[in-house]
Amino acid sequence: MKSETVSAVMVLVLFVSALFAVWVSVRWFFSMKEMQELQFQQNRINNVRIAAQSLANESIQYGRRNPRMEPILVEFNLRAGTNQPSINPAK
Amino acid sequence: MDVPESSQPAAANTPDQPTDRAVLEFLAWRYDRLQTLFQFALAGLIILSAAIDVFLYKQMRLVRIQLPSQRDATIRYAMEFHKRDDLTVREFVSRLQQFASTNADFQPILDQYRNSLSPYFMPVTQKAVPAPAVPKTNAGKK
Repeated sequence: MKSETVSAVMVLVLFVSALFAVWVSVRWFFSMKEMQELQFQQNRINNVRIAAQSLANESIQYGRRNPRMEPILVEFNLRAGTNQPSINPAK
Repeated sequence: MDVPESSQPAAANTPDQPTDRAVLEFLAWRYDRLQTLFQFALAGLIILSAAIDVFLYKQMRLVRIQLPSQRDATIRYAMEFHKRDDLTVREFVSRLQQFASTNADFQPILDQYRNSLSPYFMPVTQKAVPAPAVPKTNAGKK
């Protein structure tokens, strides 16, 4: 009889432990999901910055061949001489 | 297997009699063995489950400690981008699009960034291409 009680208690402990694992897993899953969304958002902004910077560099290169580009480069402070682009990618 | 000794003599002494007692003792012994085995298996499962619990809890704590700072940093980063750079990139791309409409040789350079900067590209108004003139035939006419 005592042995059966011990078994019942052990089954109960195992059940509680499994419930705890499920609860922690669910919390971990949603936290990771939020973390990945935040990282995705940061990557998206970084990609936009890098692409904009690259486009600015190509525009500067193009401006050396075509002087009609000059007003746009001046407007956005992208003149090849100054070389201080206003669009900086994140470090 | 170490079967209880009581079952063998009982069976040997009274071969015709049913050996209820011996069978019961044997079953009780097997039951005890099975229960012990079950308890060992349960104990093993509890230890395994506790180890998994500890691991998952530590992982969860680790992520939840990092989450608020990551959230603040991302919000700050996104706000800074939208406040400062977003408008600049939009105006820059818009001006380049206007420039490319009059300078066709710049269009391939701009097209390279159409995917990565797609939200910043203004919709291009397609010039209406005149339909090719269909030669009039007198096939339908009599």
